[in-house]
Amino acid sequence: MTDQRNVTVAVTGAGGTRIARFVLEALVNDDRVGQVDLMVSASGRKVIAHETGCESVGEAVELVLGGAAKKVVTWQPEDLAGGPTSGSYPSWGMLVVPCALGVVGRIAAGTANTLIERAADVALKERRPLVLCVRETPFSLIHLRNMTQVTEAGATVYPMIPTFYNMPTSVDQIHEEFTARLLGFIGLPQSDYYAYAGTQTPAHRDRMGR
Amino acid sequence: MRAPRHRRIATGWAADVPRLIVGMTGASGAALGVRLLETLRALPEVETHLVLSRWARTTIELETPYTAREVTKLADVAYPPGDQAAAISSGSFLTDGMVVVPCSMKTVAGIRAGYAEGLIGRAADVVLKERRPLVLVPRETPLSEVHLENLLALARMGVAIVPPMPAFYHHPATVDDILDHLVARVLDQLNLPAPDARRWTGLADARSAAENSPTATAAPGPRASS
Repeated sequence: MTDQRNVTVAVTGAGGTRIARFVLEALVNDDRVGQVDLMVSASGRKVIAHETGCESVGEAVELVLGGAAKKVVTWQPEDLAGGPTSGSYPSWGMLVVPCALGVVGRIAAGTANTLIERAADVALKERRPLVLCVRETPFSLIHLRNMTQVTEAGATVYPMIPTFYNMPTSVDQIHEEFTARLLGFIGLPQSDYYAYAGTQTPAHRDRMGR
Repeated sequence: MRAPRHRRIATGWAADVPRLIVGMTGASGAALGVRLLETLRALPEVETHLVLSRWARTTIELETPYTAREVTKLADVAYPPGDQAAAISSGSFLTDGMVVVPCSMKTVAGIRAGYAEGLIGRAADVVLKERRPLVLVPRETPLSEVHLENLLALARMGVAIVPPMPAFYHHPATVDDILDHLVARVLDQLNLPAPDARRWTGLADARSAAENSPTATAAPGPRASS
């Protein structure tokens, strides 16, 4: 299928790597996606290991997804000659989830020291979507300046903040809602999320038990 | 002899007890404001002054099991959102600072512009001019240039921007765990005690905590059915 898109995904060293798993699962299972180019930073590996109790070594796709997936091509972040380093490499755009604020700073500064930062640099120069799912609080002045700079350059800062109007009753529900909203934002609308439609939506009433 | 009625704190004079202004506005996340008020109520030495905006009342009824009236009762003093003559409208009324939780992007814009419409905007304006701590908990994602520039301008003035971003290093098992952690991080900004907060103290500690508690680590695997 020629109309399938290739999506680049990077996992970096911030909390919330389970959301990366949900996002990658959704992309792999989506017929509208032909290929996922996956990169996991060294810090990302450590955070995944901490959050899942797994070892930090091994195949990137195994770490993030807990298993293999044919659609996923993995790249080493230190391989600056890897495919995503060039604008000629086919890519619809890039998601960084979770995105450490150090990564935002390096993208803002254009210091393409790793393939992750270079791929983000390429997404910006090629005017492709670049979505940075930051996980940090509080935000310092430096964080806010860098986030403003990358937004001016065309990226979208998409903080991993939960919605509450959907009345989440578990941590995984928060993750599912975030994943569905994120995929909708990049043009892969999902059917099973909570679309806010005023105070009388059925999902709201069901969860409130009113 | 009368006891002194004022304390000296880093940002000037304060009332004889820690006195905190809490504003709740119409962003999603009313549960965060409610949890903060409940936590502050358990700190009897802290006096809370609450303002609910019109749309905060709506989100409270929408998103929490409480009525707006019940939330109002969690505070020591509550003011109507349009009461520009309230005590907290004046810098002469000593406070230890203000937190707006959840904070809508409209309120962020209003505070940034100095457009002190309504008591929440005016109280924040006063807190800024008196150089007292102001903490905003903006719940919005993604963030536009408008949002980011407003937040940046406020950060430049020393405002603490604390978006309600769950942390995962403490392995939250429930939505309540997430709310408690976020409230603790807000209290940190206000120098108020959060004794139950779970804090990161390095990977070695985290590993041993995980080993001692089989439930502390969320094992990989299929999603929990919702």
